[in-house]
Amino acid sequence: MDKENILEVRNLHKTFTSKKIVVKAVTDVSFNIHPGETIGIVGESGCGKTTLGRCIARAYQATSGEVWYRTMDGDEVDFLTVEKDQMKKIRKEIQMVFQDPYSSLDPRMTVLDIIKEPLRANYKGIMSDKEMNAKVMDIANRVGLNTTYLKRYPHAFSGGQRQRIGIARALVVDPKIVICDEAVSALDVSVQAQVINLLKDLQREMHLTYIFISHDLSVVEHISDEVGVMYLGRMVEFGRTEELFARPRHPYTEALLSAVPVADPKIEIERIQLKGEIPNPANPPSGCYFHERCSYCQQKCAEEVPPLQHLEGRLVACHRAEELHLRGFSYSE
Amino acid sequence: MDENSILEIKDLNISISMHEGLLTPVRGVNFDMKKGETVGLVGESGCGKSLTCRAILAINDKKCRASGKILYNSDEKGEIDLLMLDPRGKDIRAIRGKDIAMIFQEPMVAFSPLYTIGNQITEATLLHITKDKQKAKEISLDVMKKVGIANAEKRYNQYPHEFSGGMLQRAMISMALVCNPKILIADEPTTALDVTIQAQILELMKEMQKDFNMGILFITHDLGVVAKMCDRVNVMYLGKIVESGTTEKIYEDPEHPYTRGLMGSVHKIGQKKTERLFSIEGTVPLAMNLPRACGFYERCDARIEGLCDREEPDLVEVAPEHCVACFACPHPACQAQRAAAEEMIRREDGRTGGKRG
Ligand SMILES: Nc1ncnc2c1ncn2[C@@H]1O[C@H](COP(=O)(O)OP(=O)(O)OP(=O)(O)O)[C@@H](O)[C@H]1O
Ligand SMILES: Nc1ncnc2c1ncn2[C@@H]1O[C@H](COP(=O)(O)OP(=O)(O)OP(=O)(O)O)[C@@H](O)[C@H]1O
Ligand code: SF4
Ligand code: SF4
Ligand SMILES: [Mg+2]
Ligand SMILES: [Mg+2]
Repeated sequence: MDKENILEVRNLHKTFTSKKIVVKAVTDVSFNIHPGETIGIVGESGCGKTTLGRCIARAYQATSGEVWYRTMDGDEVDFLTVEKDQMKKIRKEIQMVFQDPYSSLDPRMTVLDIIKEPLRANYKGIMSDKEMNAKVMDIANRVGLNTTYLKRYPHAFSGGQRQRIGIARALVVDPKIVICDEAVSALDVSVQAQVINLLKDLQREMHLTYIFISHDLSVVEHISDEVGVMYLGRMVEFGRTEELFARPRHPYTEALLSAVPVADPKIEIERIQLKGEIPNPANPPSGCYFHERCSYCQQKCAEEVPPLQHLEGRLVACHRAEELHLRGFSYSE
Repeated sequence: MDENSILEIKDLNISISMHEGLLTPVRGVNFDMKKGETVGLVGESGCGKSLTCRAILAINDKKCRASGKILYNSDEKGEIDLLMLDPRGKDIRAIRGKDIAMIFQEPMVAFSPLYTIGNQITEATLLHITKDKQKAKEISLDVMKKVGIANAEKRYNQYPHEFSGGMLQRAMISMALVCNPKILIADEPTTALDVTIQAQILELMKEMQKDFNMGILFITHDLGVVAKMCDRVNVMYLGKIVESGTTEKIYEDPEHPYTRGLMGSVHKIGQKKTERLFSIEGTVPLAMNLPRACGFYERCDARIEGLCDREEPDLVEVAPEHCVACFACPHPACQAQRAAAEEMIRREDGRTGGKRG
């Protein structure tokens, strides 16, 4: 592992097979993360963002690939194949906040028990119930949940509060890496801003590393240091946030950015129309997966899969990345 | 009712009886929609947006009690108060789906998993437009093509689970549009979609609006989408409209402290990065046993103590097409309201010989 990285995802693949249909949800994804940073993952619905997150957290078993992780003790391990004993110790270091705050909380458990659950799973026999409760109180306070309400059931909480419960549950075991899957998408903007500020504060206090999955590009732009763009299971572009938003190097990224609705009625952005439908992941197109919809497509694109290559501090998978001048956002001072 | 209006909601109240007490999630909502216009409804999660739009079609739970007026200007029958109709009677059923259609946030709830997509769209056509099965199918296929469903003939015979999320959303929109409704209610229609599909669907809705002079009530928490879609915006807080105006007015020069907070919370790409996003401190109170006070009082940075915690401002017109409910707003209409409220408090204190409470 490179000394600067806390996580290195290498050639990760995940295929789902049901009724003889094989869906390649994640194909050959690789990227690195520096500790204390936030990586945003964006892309069309169904492109494999959740699957990627779940594979890293080992909520799904990846089909192949490696996820190298530098543990709290400084060991370098492949999180996907690490031995049982060590796994027990480090499993809690990578946690996930799930997509839906309404269905991911068990309605029959009190909020106290929901947040305590991961402690029970990881510290059984090591930590007393009293210590666990104290830890729950502490984290509940930090995420801004009123501790007098912890005996209540989730239905009595608003969307924003439930989101905080989900975050508290992920953070209570002191993880190093937190994977947030659409953690703020269901919230209105003012509550969203509260939760994002909270995530940033906690990141600083607890030195957390985030993988932030979202289809809201303005939120991703605000919170991420680096952004990965996925299309049909593949990472097609990866780079520093502002650079990528200012000058995309992949035609799909350009199309995605042009479709962002801007909160100003006077600004009309000319959207790049994508031709046709999202291809079927069970039967992906030849060559570049994007070629049927790409307005820069050439002969070669239909024949050869473009590899993910370095280009001026960026990773891009496009045959024409070097020559194309694509449009992004202009940054004002 | 104004002849250019297609919908007028007057003093709509909705209450729900719960064992802890009476919930009043909608407390006197007023707004109107002109023919062919897109009206936005925005506001904090739980402020009563969905209850309000479901009341228009009389599809709220039985335990939700509504009062006030929901006037619909029907081409054939003139003015109808939808609240007066039996929610299960044939009058409202003739309007539902035909004159007024709704798109739900979650497309899965709009379709039954047991029937093909085509069947379900054609059913609406058979109910309202024609009894001829072949013709109904043709109309349905035509709309499916219009909403951009490629290979519509094949898709017609598929079941909901065979559609991707974005495609199902389009199928639902085609079901809503198949009878050329006069009013389309869209409750968070694109929240679950990514930006490219969202943009396609929004453009489609605009096109259909132009073709059929359809009015759209648009509910979303995405202020970028509102900016793109709406002619006028109603801002809702704790069951009331607190500000309404043209989209430009609301975005450029909002008057109500909540609207200002909401607009300030938006992060725009390309802006200079600040470490923290602006957000309104605190959370919305539960709409139960509310004191006589401005609903935003606890969180408001402009609040006037001794006034805002004792009286609730009404929504008053401060300029053509611009209404605000706030005592601190400098417009004469609001200041007149403030003076009247202060006078009332003075008299009340005089009677009780001191401050209330
Ligand atoms: N458990 C599963 N079994 C079979 N197929 C699956 C499963 N989970 C996901 N898929 C498929 O894998 C692909 C990627 O799905 P995934 O949920 O990772 O997408 P996503 O990018 O998170 O989309 P969204 O933005 O809609 O959440 C899709 O084609 C999906 O249908
Ligand atoms: N059937 C019901 N029983 C009890 N309470 C309800 C019911 N339906 C709605 N409520 C409550 O009424 C309030 C308003 O709900 P509504 O669904 O209209 O909110 P909303 O503005 O659409 O919010 P969101 O943006 O989260 O969709 C909420 O506090 C909600 O909990
Ligand atoms: S490789 Fe060709 S088809 Fe693919 S994105 Fe680049 S230009 Fe477009
Ligand atoms: S009436 Fe008072 S509390 Fe309410 S929004 Fe205006 S200033 Fe704030
Ligand atoms: Mg997902
Ligand atoms: Mg709602």
